[in-house]
Amino acid sequence: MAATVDHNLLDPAHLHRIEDYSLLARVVVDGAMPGIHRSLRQGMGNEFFQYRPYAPGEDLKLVDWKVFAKRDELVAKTFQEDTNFTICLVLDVSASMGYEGKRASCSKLRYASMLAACFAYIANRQGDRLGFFAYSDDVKEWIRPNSGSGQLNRVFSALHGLKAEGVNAHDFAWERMVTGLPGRGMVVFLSDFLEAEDSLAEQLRFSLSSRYECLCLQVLDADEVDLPDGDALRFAEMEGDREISTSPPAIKDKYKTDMAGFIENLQTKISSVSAEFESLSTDKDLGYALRRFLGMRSRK
Amino acid sequence: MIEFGQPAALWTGLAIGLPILAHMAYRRVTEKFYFPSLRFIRPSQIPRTGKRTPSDIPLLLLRILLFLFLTALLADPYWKSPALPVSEDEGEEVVIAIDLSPSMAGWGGLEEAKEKALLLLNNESGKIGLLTFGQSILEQIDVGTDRETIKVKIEALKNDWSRGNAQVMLDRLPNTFSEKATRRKLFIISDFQQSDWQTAYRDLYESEIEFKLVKVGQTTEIEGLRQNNLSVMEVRAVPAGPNKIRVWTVVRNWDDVNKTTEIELIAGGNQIGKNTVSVPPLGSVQTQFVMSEGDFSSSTIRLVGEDEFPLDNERTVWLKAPPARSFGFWMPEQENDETEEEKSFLKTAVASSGDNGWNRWDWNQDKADGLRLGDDQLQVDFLMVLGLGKWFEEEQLGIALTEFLSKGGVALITPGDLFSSTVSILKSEKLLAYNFVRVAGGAVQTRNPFRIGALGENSSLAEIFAGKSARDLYLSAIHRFGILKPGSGSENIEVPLRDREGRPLALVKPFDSGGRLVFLPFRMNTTWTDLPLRSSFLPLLMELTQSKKMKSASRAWPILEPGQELVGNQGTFIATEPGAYRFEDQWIEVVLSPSEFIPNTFSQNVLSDSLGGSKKGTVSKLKGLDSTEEDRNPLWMWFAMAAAILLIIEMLWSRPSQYTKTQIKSVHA
Repeated sequence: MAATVDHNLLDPAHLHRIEDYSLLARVVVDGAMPGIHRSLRQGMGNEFFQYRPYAPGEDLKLVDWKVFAKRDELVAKTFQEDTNFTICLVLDVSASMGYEGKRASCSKLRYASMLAACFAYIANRQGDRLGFFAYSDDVKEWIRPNSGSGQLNRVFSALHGLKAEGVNAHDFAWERMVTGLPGRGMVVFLSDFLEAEDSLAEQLRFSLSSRYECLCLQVLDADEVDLPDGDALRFAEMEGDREISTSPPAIKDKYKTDMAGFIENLQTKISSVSAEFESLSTDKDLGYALRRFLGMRSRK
Repeated sequence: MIEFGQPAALWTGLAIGLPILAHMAYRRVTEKFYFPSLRFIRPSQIPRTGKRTPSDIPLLLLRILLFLFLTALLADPYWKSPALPVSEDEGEEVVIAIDLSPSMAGWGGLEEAKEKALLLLNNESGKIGLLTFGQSILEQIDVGTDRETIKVKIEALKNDWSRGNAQVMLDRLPNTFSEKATRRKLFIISDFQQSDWQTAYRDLYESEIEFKLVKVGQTTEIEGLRQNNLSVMEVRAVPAGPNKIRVWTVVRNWDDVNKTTEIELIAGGNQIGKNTVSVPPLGSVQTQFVMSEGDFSSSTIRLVGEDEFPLDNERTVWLKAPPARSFGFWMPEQENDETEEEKSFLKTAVASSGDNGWNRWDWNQDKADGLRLGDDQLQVDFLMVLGLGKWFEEEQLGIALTEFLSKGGVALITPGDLFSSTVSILKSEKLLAYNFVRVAGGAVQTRNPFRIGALGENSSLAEIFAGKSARDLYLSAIHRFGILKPGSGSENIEVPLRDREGRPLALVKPFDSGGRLVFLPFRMNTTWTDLPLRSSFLPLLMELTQSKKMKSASRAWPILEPGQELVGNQGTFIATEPGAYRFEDQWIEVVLSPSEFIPNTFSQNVLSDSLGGSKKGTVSKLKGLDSTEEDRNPLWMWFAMAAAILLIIEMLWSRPSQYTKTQIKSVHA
């Protein structure tokens, strides 16, 4: 069933005002997109989850006889199923992620962080083990996969402390992250993937394995897609010292072509290693990315 | 009120339109914009924008103001105080001292001096006097003389030719002011040429004289340096083969850049020759002309073309040969073979000691005989008294010889047959305070000859006789000679030559006049010695008899500078202006003092210290001249400060905005 989407609640222009990631994730997942995800898996796990009315024909081992004795009602115990599935969120926090164009309501990093918070919340709700990895020129955060509400809070807290700084070092960071991956799981990359297309496919070869899924979400500002407004600007690199003076209107067409080519090339290379790719703009709502995430998760 | 030292620089103010145009048509200043990646950013032409009206009016006004200040700064602004009214002050005395040394004739110095002096005459109150000086005080017009008289004098001033000496003016100063004067003011107008002023000193502060140094003839901005002058430093005429005369000259360039000039030789009013020379910076070159001898008596060397100091561009030189130096003999009436032989040797030797030019010796026995007869007007340079004996005493020649020596003459004496008699006569005439001992070698003809002893290291002869020439001298054989021993009063007698046992072989008595008496204790013939046959004889003879007068390498006419005197037999010649002059039998060249050629001058500050100017109150605020010097209060410092402040404001105002910087601050996720 298609979920009813409240566009206003998914708009980053509204969401970025919510400082608390826990609240933000609940607003998005439970409020704006109810029912878009599967409920918690119930089954024969070790951890008790809740009672429910016994349905005739079910295994009688599920009946809680102590309750029946007290209330004269047949109720069945449900347990939280141990999925043994890990979701690892990888977030690029290099300086370029700090960019916030005039048309955007938040920076790229804030946008990516909001997505990561939602993903973490959903994963926790589905009983998946959750890991978090943030990097720029070095590893900034590395929360090893685990489950439980405490793990979710650790991730939220880590998201809250992130700053966009440093130069991205995709190769170095991903190598560190891949070596720490558990036996089965899904890796979600949130980055602008600038300057990464040459080495990305090689680093994502692990996704060729049937045990792993990989989702690469490219977060770009609208300015990066079609250049900012202005007759003349002196562009200075956020992760370097280069400067170029130019007139954006004069180079806009060529820039858009080159940028589209870059994204297409990136998508091709990522697809070649069975990973999935999506390019997002910070002025778009979070719904599309969430659906893409849940779509992949549901296949497992 | 504000005035400008370089008003022409105000024309740069026309460029005031530039900042206005820049505000109307400018290339947009690009702002710094931090962007994630420049990978697909390409540089492109920044579009120009143009406007019908200027934008940023306050900034434009600020820039225009800055431009105006810079323009004014270039024009050397100063504050000119209004001229003080001239007040008559009976007690105030003013002396204008004007340098008229030859160097003032260059670089427009004298004309400028006249202008300044006339200006002072108009502006100064009180009584005015005039003092002109060169090598001496040329004219003194007393303080209080009516101004019209002084004005006429000033307008008629001409440069003097004598080398300048500022000290005479400074020494005269106390006498130029009266004792009644309540205020003494002195204006010294000069070019302050180095040679004229280098020794000038007087503490005017102690004399209660306020002074001001007014420098004229300074054509360049660089203090003390005057340019564009070539000088004829030296001109000589010398024989150049049969019937030819070579006139050579030295030209100096006082500038620090190379100069090319033409030099012409003028004789009899016609140009005889012309050469073109290139003179290196601060260097000299020689050039020469060859002309026929006897056509002209004098010629003039002249630099073609004008320079800043014309007085040193010309020099006149005599083309006549100077008189040869003369020598003669005094001998006994009864000449014998020994004397004849001696005379022959000496005559040949002395006559050959000159050269083929104008430096030559003539045997002039008439002059020697005239001198022997008591005619002291006859000039003989070298007198040889051979075989001095009783005849010398009988003719009472001792007086004449003494007078000859006291006038700078040189005499050579050889002994007569009776050696003891010769020594006795010399002693009695107070010519030589030596005593006779005996004649060595006289009795034994076959004994080994006496040899000349080694010359002492300090001997003047040792410098001449070295190597082979010394060997030739030491091999000289002396068969006989008179042994002498010093007597009382012999301290001033030199013994340049001795035998191996240290006995004198030559005695030299110098006189204060430069004259020399040379006594040889042997005769110059082969009976006594073989020395006249040897090659070392001529140099030995010349060295023993040389005096300042005879030592000069070349012979030339007297050269005087203006102001110098030459005493003749009938009068005194006083050199005034450069040129060629005849005086009695002398041919005289008068040349401008080379020290006046020097273009360098002293700065007023240096001289001011020498005149006590560093003391309180002496460097006066005298305002006699125009206000360009005294009343000027430079304002360039204030303008520079204002321009700097405006520039800083402009830079702060027009710096790029901080907009993009806010984007790079760390974003808290």
